[in-house]
Amino acid sequence: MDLRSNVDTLIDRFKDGDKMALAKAMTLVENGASELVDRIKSEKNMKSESEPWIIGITGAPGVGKSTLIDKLIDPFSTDNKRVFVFAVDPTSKLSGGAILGDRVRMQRYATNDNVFIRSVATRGSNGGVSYHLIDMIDLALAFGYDIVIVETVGAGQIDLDIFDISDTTVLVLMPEQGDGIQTYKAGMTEMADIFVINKADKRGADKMVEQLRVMMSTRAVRKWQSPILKVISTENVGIDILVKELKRHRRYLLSSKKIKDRERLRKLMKVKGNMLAKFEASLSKTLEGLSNEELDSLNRHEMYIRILKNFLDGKEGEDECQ
Amino acid sequence: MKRKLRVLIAKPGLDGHDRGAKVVAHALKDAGIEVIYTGLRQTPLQIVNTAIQEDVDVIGLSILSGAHMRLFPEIMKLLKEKKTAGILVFAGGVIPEDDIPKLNEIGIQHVFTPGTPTDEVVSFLKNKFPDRV
Repeated sequence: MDLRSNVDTLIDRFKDGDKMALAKAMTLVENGASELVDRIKSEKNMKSESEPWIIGITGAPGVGKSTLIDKLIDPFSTDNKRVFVFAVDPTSKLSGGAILGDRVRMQRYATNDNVFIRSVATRGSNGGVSYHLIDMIDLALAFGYDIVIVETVGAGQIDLDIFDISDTTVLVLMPEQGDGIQTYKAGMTEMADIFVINKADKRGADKMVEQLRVMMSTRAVRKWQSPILKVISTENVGIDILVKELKRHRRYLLSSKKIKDRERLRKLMKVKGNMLAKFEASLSKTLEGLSNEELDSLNRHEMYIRILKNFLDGKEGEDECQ
Repeated sequence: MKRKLRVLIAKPGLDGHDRGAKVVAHALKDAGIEVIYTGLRQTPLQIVNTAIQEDVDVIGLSILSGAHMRLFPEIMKLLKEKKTAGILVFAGGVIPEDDIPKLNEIGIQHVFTPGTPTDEVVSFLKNKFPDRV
């Protein structure tokens, strides 16, 4: 029997703590069945003794995000916490396929009962994660995971969705990644809660720290001054301090009530993501359906009306999948 | 929108050669499939747990060490024990012709031997999942 097509059984098994049911619920939600999250949340007594904590790990391709997460799972999971990792990699614009390879670095946890790792493809989203990620995070929390770690795609300057999703976001950098002016630009550096200079045994690490310090000293003082940490993930160097700083940031969020702001952002982002997924699917369908003659003859306004009308009339394409 | 096909490409056992696995992963990605790669030297339990967490439709096992008659049955047994009904399993690598019927018998649907063009793997999956690839 395919659990994905028998939602009642799926929910029962989810409530019983069956991980296969969790995995299959994730698939449904990833394909747009957001209402499943609402149903599960209303039927399952949410474990509420511990506030959930969502940690985002972002940074350019190759800076060592996956390896850093591999090292972070240890101290958290031995803390008697259950850890869920979402590892996001890009979907091919050419084929729609993807190679999801982040978990290669974390496979030693494949047999650890307190750790669950799920690879996620971006599927059309350009924000560095995927449109339905927050629904998937909600499922992980409803299942009973205490800490959710999200690894974004190899991110550049404007793949900023992770900052609306996480409570705490770590920007991972490495030595020789551009000169000082890069740190002044709008985008990620102005938003990171914690900076990690990974591969800090490479030449240029201290210079990078200095550049970030100078940048921090020239910007308006904030209540939370993002720490700058040198880490060598592969050698487990600096991980203990990173964990301490992560926990300090968490305490700051809780004590300053900022945690409520983050929750609000996340809720807004969830609606936005769900809507964008539906709209983009409908938009692509309408555009593909336009003949060359229509493309030349319709004026902008007519085109917009056609697109919006199809969107409103259309079945919400994504929910059809089983 | 059709549900995307998800395939786990896994490397059981101790051989350290994954060129073949990567070539297949690449071809499947180019066919519009979401491919999850385990990396080298995986135990049967790691592979089966990963398949469950990732909710894959297919597992592709790549092996060059010669230990397939030992490792594959263990993987198939674990899949059965954990009741992962409906996951299709295929294999590829250096596997003698004589072993293939025995592997088919334990539930491995197809074995691709060295030199198989990647198109063949793609069309094998297309046949099995006609409306999803």
